[in-house]
Amino acid sequence: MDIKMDISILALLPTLLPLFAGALILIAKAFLNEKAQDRTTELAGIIGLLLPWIPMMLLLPRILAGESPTLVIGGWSYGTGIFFKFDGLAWALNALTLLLCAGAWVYSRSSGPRGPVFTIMFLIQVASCCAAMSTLDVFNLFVCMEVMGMTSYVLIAQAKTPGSYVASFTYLMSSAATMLLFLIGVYGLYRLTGALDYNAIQQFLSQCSVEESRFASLCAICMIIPIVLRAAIMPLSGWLLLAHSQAPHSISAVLSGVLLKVPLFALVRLLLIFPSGGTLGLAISFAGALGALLAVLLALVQSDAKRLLAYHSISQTGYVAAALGAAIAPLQGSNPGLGLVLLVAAYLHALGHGIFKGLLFLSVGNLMDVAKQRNVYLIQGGVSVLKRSGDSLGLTGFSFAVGALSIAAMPPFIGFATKGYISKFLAENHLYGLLAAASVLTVASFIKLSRIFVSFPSSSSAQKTESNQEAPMRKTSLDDDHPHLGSGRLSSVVGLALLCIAGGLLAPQLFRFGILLFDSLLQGSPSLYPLSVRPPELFVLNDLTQTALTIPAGLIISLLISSKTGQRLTHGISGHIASFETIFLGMGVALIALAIQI
Amino acid sequence: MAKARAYLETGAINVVSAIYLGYRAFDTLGETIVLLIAVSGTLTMIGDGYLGSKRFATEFRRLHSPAEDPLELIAGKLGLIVLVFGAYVMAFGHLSPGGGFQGGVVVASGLLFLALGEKGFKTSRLTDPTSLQKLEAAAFLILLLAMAAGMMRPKAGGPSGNPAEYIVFLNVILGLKVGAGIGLMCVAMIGDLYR
Amino acid sequence: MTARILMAGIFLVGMWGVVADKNMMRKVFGLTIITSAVVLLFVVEGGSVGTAAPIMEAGVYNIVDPVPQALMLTAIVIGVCVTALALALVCRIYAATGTLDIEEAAKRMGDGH
Repeated sequence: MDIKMDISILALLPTLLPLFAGALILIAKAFLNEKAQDRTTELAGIIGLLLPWIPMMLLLPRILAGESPTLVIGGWSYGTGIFFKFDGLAWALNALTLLLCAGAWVYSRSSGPRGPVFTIMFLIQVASCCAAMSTLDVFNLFVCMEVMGMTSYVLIAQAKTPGSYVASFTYLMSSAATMLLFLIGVYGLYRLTGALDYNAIQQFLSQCSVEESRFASLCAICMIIPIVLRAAIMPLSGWLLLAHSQAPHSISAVLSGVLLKVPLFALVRLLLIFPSGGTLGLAISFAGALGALLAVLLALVQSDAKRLLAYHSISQTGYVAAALGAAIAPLQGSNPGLGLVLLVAAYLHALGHGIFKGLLFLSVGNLMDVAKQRNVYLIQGGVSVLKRSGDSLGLTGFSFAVGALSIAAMPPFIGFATKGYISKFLAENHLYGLLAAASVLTVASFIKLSRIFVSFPSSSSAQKTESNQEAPMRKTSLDDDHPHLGSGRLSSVVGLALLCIAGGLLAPQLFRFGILLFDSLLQGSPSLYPLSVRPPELFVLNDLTQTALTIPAGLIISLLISSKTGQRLTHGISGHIASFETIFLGMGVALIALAIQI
Repeated sequence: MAKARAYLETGAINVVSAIYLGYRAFDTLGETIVLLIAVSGTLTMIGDGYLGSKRFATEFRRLHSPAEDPLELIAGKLGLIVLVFGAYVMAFGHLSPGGGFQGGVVVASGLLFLALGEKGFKTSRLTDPTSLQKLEAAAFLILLLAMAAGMMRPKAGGPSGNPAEYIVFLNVILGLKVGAGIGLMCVAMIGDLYR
Repeated sequence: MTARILMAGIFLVGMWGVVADKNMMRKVFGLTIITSAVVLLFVVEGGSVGTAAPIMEAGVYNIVDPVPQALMLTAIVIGVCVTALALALVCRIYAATGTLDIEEAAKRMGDGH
């Protein structure tokens, strides 16, 4: 019994170790010289990003056995202590965070920014993501989200371009203003229930009157809006385009891989305590599916490479939200088995998207840096440009291809499996059509983006080069002063590419592992579901033909878009920058839409 | 009576202190980190490359240094008194209204007064950015270790709780951290980083 | 009731500043005003139960609920930090683009690159 107590205290370490590493760098920055600072930064990266795996591995057997280690921070027996629960959901999201952040950190060591302040912020961000997934306290969730947000504002501004400052400011204002709405929701809940921790609130709400329940739903809406804004579900995604396209490449990867996902899964925990959570979840699911389609439509007409990827982040997060929102209602009682598999599908797609979108941002970032150009219509022959900059094996090109095939859901990469699971489980849902259309357009968009890596033979691209010479912008054939790509940049993209392939091949095993992990979310009869649920077979003729059909459809659309008339038509739309009014208009729309639900 | 227990467990008469350094210390840690982010982020943003502050500092000095400016005269004398008051607020946070954050902000305003009151280009140790940075870093590390130790404390069976010294210690360290951080930010914002 | 109407008024004034004003400084001010409205909500409404300050000296009972006050300590500090960071960003944007108008700055941000 005593030993078990000690083990659950380990749950705090994934949060505390990165913080401790950050404090070490701060000490080094204040007391030591530059060389020692650099060495400490490297050491701190290892402490903050690798050591947390040890407590996680120690806790894994208990989680797989269906337990969820819970503790009150500080060990208080009375009062309003903060509860911390390290269950399968927290474990899974912590793993995602640590994995992707390690990749991005290795990349940024060779590409910059790499100063001590950058690493401190980066580590604190990791800690806040870990804490946000484990906390069972509404106010503590607010603090974690604020820490997460503050670090992202600073990290985006680390690009040190005017654009990044504007992006950071826009994100700061929209996110900080909506977070105050969250506080109002917290106040309402505290006033109603007299408690701040999830279990006590849930207990109160399960036996309260209709009016009180309606008031609680209102508070829930106040708390959902800021989280949905952080996760960039469609009406609230205006800030993301600037932020993700202007941030440093490694930060773009982390922002879209981790910082969009952690709030979403923290939302699962929050929604499960409200009786009306299922209905609200369905609204989020619908918004996610609609957003998946609309965002990919907008992505098709972009000419800025990173902005195109940012739109795809919105679209893919929409997929995740569609599955995740639909999982709440079944989880709350009607059909826990279905809820569980939907949640696992959502998590796997979040993991997959984190990996392949990180890969895409980093590999496109490599090319953008050596080509010194962001416009997809103007970059050409990326592979040969990269070859001159030290990537003689074409590793960046290869990794990009893996990432693009993953996001386009081609077998055997990870995207094929995870999107396959989501479509399988949502097949009877009315949202299925939206998601299917979105996946065709994703293929089209990536055929368009892939052009930046290949060089066209002169005959077919004659028309293209002509338009290049007309354009006032500098051509991308750079003979001198292109930067050299360091080994960190290449090894991190290759590492992520290998993860894409491995994830695709091991998808059924991952799925089973996910079921085991998330099983602890279900309160009643835990061991029943993992046995009866098995991953659906994906390599059947029907699915493969569907996938095969998306390719020609995508090819046709991408040819249409990148033709001269297509470019002229779409130019007007793509230049649009999200203003404050649109962001807050989105907030109003979301508020009303959710209020109608209850 | 839960509030009486709060006294027994945390050793603080001031229940607000008992909550935010005892039961909800994890929130307080998060809050300290937000402050750390704001200080480091602001310093990197207005510190490197923003020449406006440097130019402002020299022009401001040239205009004002020869004359006995009433602001400088009063602020310089007031600074020390404010610092002493800040120390009081920090150290007695468990007994009376106040605590680490409030005391830290008072200390920071004392530092700001001192910085405003320094005539010409003279720098005292208290308002020197490098020493403030050292103080902030050291206080943060100590605070993190102390709070982690408090969190990892094995669950006590009875109402033994923490000694009152623990809360006093946390309040003082927190006050130093906050005072140094906000003071650093203010000194940088009035353009004195490049004296 | 009057207190509630006033708080809602302060909240809306701040929101208007954040959403509709083009000037970035005023947006930051708007954010500060909303923060104060929320802090007021917690402190005024949370203090409606008891009468005494929550300091447990001998003979003191019927204290106000201390939890909202403790929460607001955190929220105030976070609000100050967000403001500081926002001001630093405005400083940098002004230095880079020479304007405080957010839309103008967004238009000019490509030039300084």
